[in-house]
Amino acid sequence: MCIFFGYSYLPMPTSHSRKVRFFWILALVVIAVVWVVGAYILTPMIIERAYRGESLAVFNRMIRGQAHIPVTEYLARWSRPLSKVSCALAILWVYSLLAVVGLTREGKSGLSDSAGKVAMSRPRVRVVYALMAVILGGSAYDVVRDKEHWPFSQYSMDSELVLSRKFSIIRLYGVVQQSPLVEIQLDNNRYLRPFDASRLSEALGRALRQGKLEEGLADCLRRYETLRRAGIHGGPPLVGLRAYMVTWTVEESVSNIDRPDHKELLGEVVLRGAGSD
Amino acid sequence: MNSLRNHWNHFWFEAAAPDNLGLCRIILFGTMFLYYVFAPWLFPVWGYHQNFVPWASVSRALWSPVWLMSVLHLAPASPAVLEAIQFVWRLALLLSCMGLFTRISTAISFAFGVYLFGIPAGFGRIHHTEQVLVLVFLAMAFSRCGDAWSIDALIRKRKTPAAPAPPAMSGEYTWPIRMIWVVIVLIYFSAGISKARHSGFAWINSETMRNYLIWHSYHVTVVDPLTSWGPALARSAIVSRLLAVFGMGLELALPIALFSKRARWLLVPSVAAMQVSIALLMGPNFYPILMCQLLWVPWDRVVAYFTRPRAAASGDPVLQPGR
Repeated sequence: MCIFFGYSYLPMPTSHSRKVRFFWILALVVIAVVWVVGAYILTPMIIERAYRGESLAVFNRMIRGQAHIPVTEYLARWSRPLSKVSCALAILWVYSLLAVVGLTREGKSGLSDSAGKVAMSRPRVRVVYALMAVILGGSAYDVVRDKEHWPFSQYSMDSELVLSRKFSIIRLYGVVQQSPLVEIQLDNNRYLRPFDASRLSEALGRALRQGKLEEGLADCLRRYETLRRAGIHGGPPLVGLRAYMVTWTVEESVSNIDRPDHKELLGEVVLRGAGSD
Repeated sequence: MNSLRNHWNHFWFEAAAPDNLGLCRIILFGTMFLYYVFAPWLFPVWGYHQNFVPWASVSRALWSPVWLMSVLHLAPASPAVLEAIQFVWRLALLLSCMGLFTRISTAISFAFGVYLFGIPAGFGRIHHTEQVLVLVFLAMAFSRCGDAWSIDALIRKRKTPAAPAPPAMSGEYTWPIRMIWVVIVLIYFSAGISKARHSGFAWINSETMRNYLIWHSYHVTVVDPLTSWGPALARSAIVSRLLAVFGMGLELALPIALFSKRARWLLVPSVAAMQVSIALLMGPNFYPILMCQLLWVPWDRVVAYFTRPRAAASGDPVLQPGR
């Protein structure tokens, strides 16, 4: 706990603090070893034996799908949450260790008796605590619930596992000519500002779910043309706009950026009086 | 318990001179004023995000307000009104920096900032670049950051020389800075916790970072990466995993910087370097939070360091706060 209050800590008698520190560090090390051995060695062993019906009856009864589920699936089911739980425990472990080291640090507290006194009026201190409650409470709520209530957030960007090299995004293609079809990928943020690629994809996805995709596309087409006429971008005049769900298999060379694996048309709008500039 | 309370009070309310808070006010609002006024002109590729007026003309079919905007029944105003709000907000940033009408200008910086930052967040996706400013401006609006290094202080001194000066040392000048530190730390720590919760160690020990490095070069982000190094680095699985270790490790370790000066020297520049690396390799830039990192620096000591030799030579007193 004392790690939260600086690097000068509760004064304790030297021998006592050393014993306390030794006890707690030993306890933490034992807990870590028990967890690692239990979670990564013993449990997989028990799962394998129970799968073969060679473990204790209580474990054997827990696995009944040998006929159609391979043992690797049971092991995978164990290891999936294990990675998350171990990670959370590791964070807790490190901070506990720092707290123990801080709490049992030898020497006197660097704080004088007057240091703990609040040099402010009570009403002002209450205001500060209220502010603290809003900022810390709002942030803590979102982190604990894994939700986002702007301006608070759990900041979950890029936190998901991305194991596949395939990814999909809604992308707009400008129709330069209808027949034969000539279209260009609108992958430059200049074309549709103030939108950017990530924001636009999400906004179009939501509009699609709400049945407002055409309205959204019409707005994008107007925006493209307005920006083109204003000289913000040098794209060609368009006669229409199409929204596709495009899927790529990413390559280190990024050479397939103009050639997605798959394009699924989601919606389309055509400019009134197409062809006139 | 007494000792814990002492440490708590020491962290939040340690008596301090008003100089550091005043200087932090200048740096925070000054950099933000320059950023929001000049970025659209100087960096047209991404700076357009700092101009909020174009959002007024975007179709409501693409609008889905964030929680706070929804609760307050706020929506994008007409272009003319939004232009006016943005002008007043930028002016408030400048006045806050100068310390003129500090109470009002910091309050406007916060209130109008909530509105302006909340608008783009309602169009598709929340970019986490400006949330830090909402909370930092909120802390500043409630603080007495205009007590020193401000025009208000000069005017007060000139108008009523006999008026009682603000206290020389007070917790009033400590808690806002600490609050800003905590807000910054919360952002990174929350991001680290999210990775631990959603992916665990697998976030490091998998292809995840490698795929992110390549994926961000497919024009899918708020800003394209500043370099093409991301996919090149992704060729090496070890480098990708090392980047993941550093990223997640720094996010989870940053709370230590709150309590250890030594750790602060290492962690804060490292986190700033991480932000720069993200802009270089993956695109998204977090310049507002990067500039907020400047508030870790004890600016009163920096100023004292640079003024001391000259003052000592001339026999003048060292560091005259504008109280």
